[in-house]
Amino acid sequence: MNSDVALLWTLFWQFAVISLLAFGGGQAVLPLIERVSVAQRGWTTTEAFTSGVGFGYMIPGPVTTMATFIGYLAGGLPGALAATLGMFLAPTLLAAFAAAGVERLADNRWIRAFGAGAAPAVVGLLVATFWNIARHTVTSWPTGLIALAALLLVARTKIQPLWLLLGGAALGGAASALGS
Amino acid sequence: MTQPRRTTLPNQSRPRLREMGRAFLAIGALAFGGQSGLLALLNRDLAERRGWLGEKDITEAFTYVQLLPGAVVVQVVAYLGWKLRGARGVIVATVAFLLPSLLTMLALGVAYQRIASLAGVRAALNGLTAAVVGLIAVATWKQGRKTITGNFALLAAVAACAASLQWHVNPALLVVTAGLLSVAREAFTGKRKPEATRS
Repeated sequence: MNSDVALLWTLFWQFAVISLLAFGGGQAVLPLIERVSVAQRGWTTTEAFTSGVGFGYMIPGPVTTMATFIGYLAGGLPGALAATLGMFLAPTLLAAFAAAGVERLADNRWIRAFGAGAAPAVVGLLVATFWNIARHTVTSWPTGLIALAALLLVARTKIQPLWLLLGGAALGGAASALGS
Repeated sequence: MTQPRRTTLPNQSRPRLREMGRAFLAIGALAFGGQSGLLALLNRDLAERRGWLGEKDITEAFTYVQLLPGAVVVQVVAYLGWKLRGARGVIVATVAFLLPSLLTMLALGVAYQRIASLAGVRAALNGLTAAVVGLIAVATWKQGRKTITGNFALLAAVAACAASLQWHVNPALLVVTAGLLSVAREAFTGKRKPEATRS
């Protein structure tokens, strides 16, 4: 098999598996994507992954669209397509089956129980991802202050992530222009 | 004659696929602000303005997909797509809804690959990713408050965090293990006290 085809297939199935483990909403995929694309496959760096998360929060739609971003960095336009399909195919089908009333899928006792255990595990993994990202990105006084200010603003106000992250970018640029 | 279960709308109120595509494309381009943002948008556009669905259908969609794995906002759209026009409705609604964000993300990927290493861009990205750290902290906190509702859940969260940070256990394995343990727990305790596991 051609190695390009092998990469596309890997992107598709890795993101498909990740999408099926996303219990508790879109951001549940972040620890899984980080692990697969940075440590396991080397598709991208922690910096690029974190930027992708930022873009995912800035633009409309779910943060899971960052599959497109990672897919592009890993394998260009075909890679973006493969990762995107992998990420959205299975959850869309599940939702359609639920709407069609296939044995009341969404209300199933066992799916419910699985989610009740998987969702808190995802929270623990998000803490680990938070730590990994913070170690790589909060490396100076200005970045520390930006992170803290962002935390307080998100916790206390209803600011849109778009403005928050653009503000962070502007401050980052300003800090480096003043500092060096 | 028995009435078949009605899972899609009666014929007269079905929108045309092209209209649906246009509506969901606009919704997709404006879907900032996560689930609550989308809920408001769907209520205003699909229920109040176009009258294709009732607010009850939209609330039902959110309730049913919440427990499935995947991004809730896309699944709500797929669910409503089925209600409006069946299988073809799912495809049209989902693709139209995702198209604006996917194209934006693709453009950002292209731009990132070309200019991320320039000094000015690098500095701006350092500020952006620092803000992401704050954003993830709050998102994690909110998710934790919603899902950690008892000792079992707390244990799962702490164990998963420790296993990932300390021993670099594969996160997918941890999610599956926690899910299966919870299923086993339901199997052993659920039958005697069926309401005890529902909160």
